[in-house]
Amino acid sequence: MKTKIIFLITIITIIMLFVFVWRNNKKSQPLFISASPPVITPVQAEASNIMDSPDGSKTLTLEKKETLSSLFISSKSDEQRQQIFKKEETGSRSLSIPYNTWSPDNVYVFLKEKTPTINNYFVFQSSGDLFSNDLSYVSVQELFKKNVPDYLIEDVTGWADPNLLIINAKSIEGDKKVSFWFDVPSQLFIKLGTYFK
Amino acid sequence: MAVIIFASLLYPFVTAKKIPCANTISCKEAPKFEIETNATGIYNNQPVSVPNISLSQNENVNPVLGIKTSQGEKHIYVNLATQTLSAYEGDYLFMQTFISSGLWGKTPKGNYTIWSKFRATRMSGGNGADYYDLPNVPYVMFFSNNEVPGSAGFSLHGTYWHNNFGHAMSHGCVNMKRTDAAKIFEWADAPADGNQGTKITIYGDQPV
Repeated sequence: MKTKIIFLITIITIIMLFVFVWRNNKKSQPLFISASPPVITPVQAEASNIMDSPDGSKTLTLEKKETLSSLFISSKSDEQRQQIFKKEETGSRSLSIPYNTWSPDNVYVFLKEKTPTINNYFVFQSSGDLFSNDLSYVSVQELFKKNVPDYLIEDVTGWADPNLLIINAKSIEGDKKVSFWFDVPSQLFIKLGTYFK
Repeated sequence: MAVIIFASLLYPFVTAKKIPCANTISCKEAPKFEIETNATGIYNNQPVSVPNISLSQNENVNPVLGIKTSQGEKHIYVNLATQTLSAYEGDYLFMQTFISSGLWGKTPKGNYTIWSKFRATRMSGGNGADYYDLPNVPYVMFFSNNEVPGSAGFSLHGTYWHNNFGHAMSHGCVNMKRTDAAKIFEWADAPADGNQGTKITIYGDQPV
């Protein structure tokens, strides 16, 4: 009886060892030997003067002549080019087109303006149409300051959906990081539980 | 005694790492080419309009071999830390762009190969506020390895529902701008004639 038990334990131990080794070999077996990832130069994220829409059908161009910045939308299908905005920039301010400027459905675009103190963000309708307040753009920074006074905008990163601009902000007291959505049609800010890093 | 033996044998299987589903459809059935006209999708539990896809007459919906621009081996690198993708052919940098990796689900790091390409397919997943059901997801390249099976549904693909590249924003897949996804879809290879598909290496740590 004792011999039988020892034999059984030996067999089970061998099976367990086999299963263990087999599983570990399977896990560690590389599919291919990968070369070290190349050193990658960061993609130009800002200060671009031209950006295609996500579907490639339209192009946003920012042209600067001396102190005058002009914003144009062109369509690849009919080669039409429409100016939707122009602004005199002083030396300490500069406009740029962010990488995620276009809303996913091509309806809106946003620009970033660097100033010595804060960054401004302006949203336009790509059609060139005016917003309901008869302005050609919505100043996100201005509205945010007025409606969400406890937070400061750190960055506007892109679009969460066709209408929602993503704003990363921090609290004035305590540096608490929070993301907001800015709903362009209603011009309302929505505080989020998720922080979009 | 018998219980201990049985439990010991079962232990390695029970503790096996469970790979989450990036796309519940591909976790139930094999992915397939699928387009819909005038469809409405759901993203973050909200309706989203779906761009129609009109295929050109000679367009192959499940192409295998991509275009070749030089003689080197094709390799795609996805850097989660910088949220960028770089595609090399040997030493030649074919393209470099921003991506969005997993926010609501993790993008798994590792070495993979593309196992199939679809011009468009449907994807769904998530729960509650982050539920999504998206027809016409364009330029889909599914990838897998020994640990992350193809059925888990991880892929590189074009994205029409958000434009926030350079920042984590997906349920585990690698999201790309549609024009970028189209370019890499034409270039990358699926397995053919005993050769494996284009290699993909996903590395780096997402910003916390």
